[in-house]
Amino acid sequence: MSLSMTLRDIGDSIRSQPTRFALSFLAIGIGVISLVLLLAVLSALNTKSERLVQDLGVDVVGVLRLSPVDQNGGLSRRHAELLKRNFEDLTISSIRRYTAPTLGTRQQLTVVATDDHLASVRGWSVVAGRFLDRLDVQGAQRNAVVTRALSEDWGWQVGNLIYLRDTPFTIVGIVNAGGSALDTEEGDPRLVLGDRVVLVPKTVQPYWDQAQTPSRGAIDALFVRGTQLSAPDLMPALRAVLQQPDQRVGKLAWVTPASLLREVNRLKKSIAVSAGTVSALCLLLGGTALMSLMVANVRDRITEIGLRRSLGATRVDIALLFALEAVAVTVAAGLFGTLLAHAVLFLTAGNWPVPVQASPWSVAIPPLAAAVLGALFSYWPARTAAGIAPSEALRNE
Amino acid sequence: MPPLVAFRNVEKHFYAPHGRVEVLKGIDFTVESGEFVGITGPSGSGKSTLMNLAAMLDVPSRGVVAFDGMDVSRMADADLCDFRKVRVGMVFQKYCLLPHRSVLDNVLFRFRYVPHDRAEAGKKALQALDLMGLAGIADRPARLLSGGEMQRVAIARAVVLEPRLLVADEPTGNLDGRTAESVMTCFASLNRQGLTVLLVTHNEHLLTFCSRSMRCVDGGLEAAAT
Repeated sequence: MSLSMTLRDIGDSIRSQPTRFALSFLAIGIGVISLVLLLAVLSALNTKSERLVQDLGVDVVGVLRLSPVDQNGGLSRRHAELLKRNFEDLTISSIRRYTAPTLGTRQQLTVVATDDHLASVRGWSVVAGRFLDRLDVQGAQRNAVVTRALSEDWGWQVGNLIYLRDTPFTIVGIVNAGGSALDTEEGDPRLVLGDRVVLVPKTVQPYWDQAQTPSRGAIDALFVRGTQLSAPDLMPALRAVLQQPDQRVGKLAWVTPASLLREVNRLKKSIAVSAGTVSALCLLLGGTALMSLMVANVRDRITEIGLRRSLGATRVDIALLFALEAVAVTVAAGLFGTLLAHAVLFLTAGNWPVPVQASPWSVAIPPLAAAVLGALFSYWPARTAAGIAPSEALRNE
Repeated sequence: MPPLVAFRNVEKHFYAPHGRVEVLKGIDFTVESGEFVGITGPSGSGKSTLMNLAAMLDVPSRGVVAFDGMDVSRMADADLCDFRKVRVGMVFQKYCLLPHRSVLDNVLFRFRYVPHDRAEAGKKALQALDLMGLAGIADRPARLLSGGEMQRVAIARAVVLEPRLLVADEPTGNLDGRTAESVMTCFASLNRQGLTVLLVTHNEHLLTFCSRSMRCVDGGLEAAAT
């Protein structure tokens, strides 16, 4: 069967019943739009999941202090040391977070007092210079590492002298700290440090801290990366050491890639079920509209079926005629719906209450789904048309 | 040489809600090559069923229908389709044209299920239209034609592949007397050129164009007085 003749047959059929075809096209198109939106949301949530894991660090356990630092205890450097003594193969880093202005401005920076392991534990990359090293920490050197965003915004380069309130520091490196995926409404500032971060050795006296927060080696968070064990396997052992009664760590929050993903996965599941049901119903309604069109089409074209059979068309030819018409309409509606939905996504980017992201799947799956829908819902009408005996069809003439 | 179409003790019945309906009963009938056979009879006498069997659109319930000496009554549907493609041309009462297509495209539609060379098909289609006196309106949409013109387009479509048999089922049923005569003249002209024609009509006046006529009565067939 030549393609041009088949396309011509399809064109003739659409021209003979434009309203019916337009309604089916619209019904399928709406279903496809809903499918594209669903896939775009799921794709964005998948990307978010991947970035969450990347931003925390693969197989990293974060231990966050929940209790305030007071005389009775709380998470401190002593606990980091305790973990290091108990788990020699683990890489452990601790942070204390402050805010401070730089000299001559009122803009607040996040100052993170940490050790030389933080970049390697969190998987950060050094963009220029180096990260803090052991000598910086042991010697309480006034060296600082800044985030790339801060370096770009304020033009800070390696070697520049900066002031945290009145205390001078020399920039020794610039890091790409990531963390934007963790920067959600629920994001803990100790997990996501933000864009404007200056990292300094934890041993430097916090002269910039006007609030004079009681220090005594208190820390806000610990990050632990295992070499042998994954985060879920590591956590019970860490918990057992830290939460011995005499350690007085107070309340802690335990963060692992799995715990970060739990919320996203829950959201993903509820969207997949709710929006997926709506999308499936829309497509089902579109398919039903298409089937009713095809049934009416077969009924109206019985004489044409008879004519074609008298000219030598086989049953398969007749079935294909109707099936291809349906698939052509659904594929056209699928492409149109996909295009329209992506245009809407592009034009309204950033205005959605949930993350949305176009992906190869959101481009490829909807037209394919529409084609399958066309084939499925035209099966019965096409089979009916093919089953009409030529003499029967021509009797209706 | 075997007859072009031969019916041997052919029976045809259908099943209706009230039971089995015998439409054709023991028909023995032949159409020789080059004949112009007219079949007449009242409504429901079985003449259209007879025509469907001759055109291989249906198979008999019992007996044998042979085309050019070959038994086609037990052929598979796909084989019958192949047989119909080039051996039989059909003309219907309501023309069965594709209204959105041009006159030429309607004639070319005869090639829809036949492997063909496009240029050759176009040439043959124009020749067939010329034969029917319609070459001048080849580009006109079929829906704008008069009844007589439509039927002549349908005849051009039926004969463009030079079939062995032309079957016409009430071809003048929708036409006025004068137009009907001009259409019958077309059939007679084609028959004179060697085409075998089997005409089914309830209009006995048209049988004068035929070389032989039969009458269908109660599922049987008898020679008709012309």
